[in-house]
Amino acid sequence: MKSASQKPPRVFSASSHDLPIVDLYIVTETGTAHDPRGREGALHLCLRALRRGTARRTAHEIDALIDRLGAELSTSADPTTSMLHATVIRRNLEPFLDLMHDIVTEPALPMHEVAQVAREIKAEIVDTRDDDRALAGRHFRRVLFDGHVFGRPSQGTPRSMDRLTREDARRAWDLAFRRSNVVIAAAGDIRPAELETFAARTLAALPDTRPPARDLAEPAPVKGRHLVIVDKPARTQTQIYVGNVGSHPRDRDHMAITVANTIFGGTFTARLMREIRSKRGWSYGASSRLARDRVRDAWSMWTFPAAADAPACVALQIKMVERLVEKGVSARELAFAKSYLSRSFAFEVDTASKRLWHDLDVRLLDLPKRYFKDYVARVDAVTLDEVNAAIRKRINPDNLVITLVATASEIRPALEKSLKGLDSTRVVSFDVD
Amino acid sequence: MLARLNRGVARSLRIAREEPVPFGAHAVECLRLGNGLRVLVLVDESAPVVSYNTWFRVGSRHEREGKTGIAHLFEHLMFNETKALPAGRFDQLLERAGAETNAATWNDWTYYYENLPRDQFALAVRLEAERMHNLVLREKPVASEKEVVANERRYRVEDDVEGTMSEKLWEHAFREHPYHHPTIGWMDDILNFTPDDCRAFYRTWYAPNNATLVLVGDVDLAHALPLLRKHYGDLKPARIPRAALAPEPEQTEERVVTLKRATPTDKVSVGYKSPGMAHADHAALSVLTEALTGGRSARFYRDFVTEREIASDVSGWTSTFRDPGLWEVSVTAREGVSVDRLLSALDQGLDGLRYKPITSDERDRAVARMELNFLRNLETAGGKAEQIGFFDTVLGDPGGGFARLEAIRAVTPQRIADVAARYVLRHRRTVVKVRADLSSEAA
Repeated sequence: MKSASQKPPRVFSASSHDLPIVDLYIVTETGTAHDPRGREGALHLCLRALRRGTARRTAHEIDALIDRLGAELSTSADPTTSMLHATVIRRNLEPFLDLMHDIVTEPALPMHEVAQVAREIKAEIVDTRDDDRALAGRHFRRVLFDGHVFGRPSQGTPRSMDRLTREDARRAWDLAFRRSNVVIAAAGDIRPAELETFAARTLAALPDTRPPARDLAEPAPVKGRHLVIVDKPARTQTQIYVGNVGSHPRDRDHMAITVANTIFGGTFTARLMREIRSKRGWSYGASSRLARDRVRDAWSMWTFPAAADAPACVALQIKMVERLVEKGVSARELAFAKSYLSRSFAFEVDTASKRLWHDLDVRLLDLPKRYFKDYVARVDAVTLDEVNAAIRKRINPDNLVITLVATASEIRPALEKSLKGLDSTRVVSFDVD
Repeated sequence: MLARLNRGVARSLRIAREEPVPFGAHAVECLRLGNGLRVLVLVDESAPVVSYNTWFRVGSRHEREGKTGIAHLFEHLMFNETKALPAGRFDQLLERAGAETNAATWNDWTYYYENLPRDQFALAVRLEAERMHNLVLREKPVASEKEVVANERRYRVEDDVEGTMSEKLWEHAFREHPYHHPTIGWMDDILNFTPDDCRAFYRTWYAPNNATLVLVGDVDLAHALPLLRKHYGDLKPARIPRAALAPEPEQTEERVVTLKRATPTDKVSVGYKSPGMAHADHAALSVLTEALTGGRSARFYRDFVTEREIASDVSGWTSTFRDPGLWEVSVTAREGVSVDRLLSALDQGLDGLRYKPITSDERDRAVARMELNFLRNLETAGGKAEQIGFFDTVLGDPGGGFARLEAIRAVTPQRIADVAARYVLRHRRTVVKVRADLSSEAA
């Protein structure tokens, strides 16, 4: 792994010549948190429109060239970062880097193309209403992070896409693509010097203006139990997310809560899977995870039982959280989780891209510098007392957001009967913005 | 090494070496135990990990009506109890070792994998050999797993409009051949299986001479081969039935199925009868699919999504099965665009292939994208193992992925025009239309 630039590093590479392909990442440290109110999705629109014309090429020519070079280009816009990710066959790297240089530094953002992209994104947002899991996840975050940038729709909404214009896309580019705000990285069949040359040329062509502030407030955990039913017709199955705000790797007890999560829902034999799938056959999957961002993100459980089993399933999940907090985990469970986490770390570093992303995550998400380098040692050092203290501190069964996608008229009475101590119940239509 | 290993050993326990098969710049070692178990090994020391795959030559094509979905249900049951391991122990041992394990079933095959640190290789050998011949199938876990699979079906089919469309397409396109029924099985069949059904399936299909082990990664053959012989060498081969598949009668007229679903937009899928994967036309049909639907510059994507703005997505697939399957195109409408308008546009595009064939530039773009996709599948030890196992099971060639890439590179615009004329025929197609109807129950 090479980090060739000086303070702070902006260029990262991880070479591997096993396969003749290269992954290229152009990341900006500005995310959708900077989208103006009412103009959600502006940065997403900008990223998607970058390939729709440069000073030298039309959208049509760019699309054809990307395909002809054996390349793929995708974009992502998250609250704290945004990214272009490309993969290309090695023999075409040089012309592809030229194209990427133009796309990033000289986007034309033609008005009619931007308008067309906005309509495309709007149609894609409408299509995601077919995806019950995505719907449940989106509404879960919206309620959990109400008032925080994590709760805003990063991709925009059908309504905001109707409003956004070329000027919004241009403003988003001006804000995100500043020299000291961009990180360039590559993994695979590329020499560090090749990437350095590309990065130097590309960064030099970007405006050398001050980057937007990176400040981001910590989200406040939700108080009370709040049920949200995303109402959709003809559901035979219920997608469920339950959780609250989790932890950040800077937290002193982060490794302890990571181990606790592994025991509770982080593996196929974890408590959630055992109780919900293995013993009762209620759901094909049952898991929990700690999401990671620049500040504390969510801790959430995901299950999807048959609609008839959903009320009992959520009630069981909450009971399991109560038991976790009350009784903690055992020394045997701790030993198992530590063994799993330290030995499976081999699969966190088995490709050049994964190794590269360790360095990028440290850089972009403000992780402790040696977060990945010391990962296994820190797993080994976690004690039972630390794990149980972290559970009591970070997880509270009385404070949970519970989001389900279901046919509300069929499930609501049974849900309200089986879930005790609800502070609020809300029903929202699946096709609201 | 083999001569030393085989010295003084009974014939049934000897390991035979076959000619290595090229795999890009590397080679796959091909070995066979006396009981018929095939072993394919690709040494790759790029990371200290091993992918351990077990491919069984059984899938939903071997099922009969009334018992559909048993191959897939069985895949789930293989993670349960064995004579030496109580229920749940299999997964616990592997997770404790830092391994990831899972499995998949489709029409022609079932496979199981463990991706694990190289120093845990012996554990995978012991556990996989154990469940190949010592599985225990009791009433309660079978009942529980049936519920899990029923839930998986709700997730993938009942509540997933694209899953429903795919199921309907194959159900109506095939009337006699078992590709007619879905791999996950019909719901009634799933719920009606008994432990006896499962035991009979196990005895029939799970045997060393119906399996191939694929080992990829930091494998030391001198260490691995004695272990494999120790754990698998004594397993008895079985008499594997020959699949007596009913040939699918020639389709002579278009079949159309219309559904109403609680979905925001209309959708359409069309499936034309197409050849099996070993057929000489398969590569050219695959290039045609990519030229029409792969990437933003693909003909249909550009026409429907970018220029006319009548669709939000276009996708295509040439089925990768042993027997003749379907050449598919699916289109999702924009809000307010009817499925009939969508199908009319699609027909215009497909009919247009006659007078506006795929150009050499379109062919070049498609081939470049297919090469990239192939290479991406080889990034991890698990990816390489899957490619080797898949091509060995379906085509009998562990290096078949590279041979297929060469076949794709050799496809000319004229070949694409030929296969389009031969297979894209209205009377040999099935159409599934979905009308968005948020007010109705599924119909």
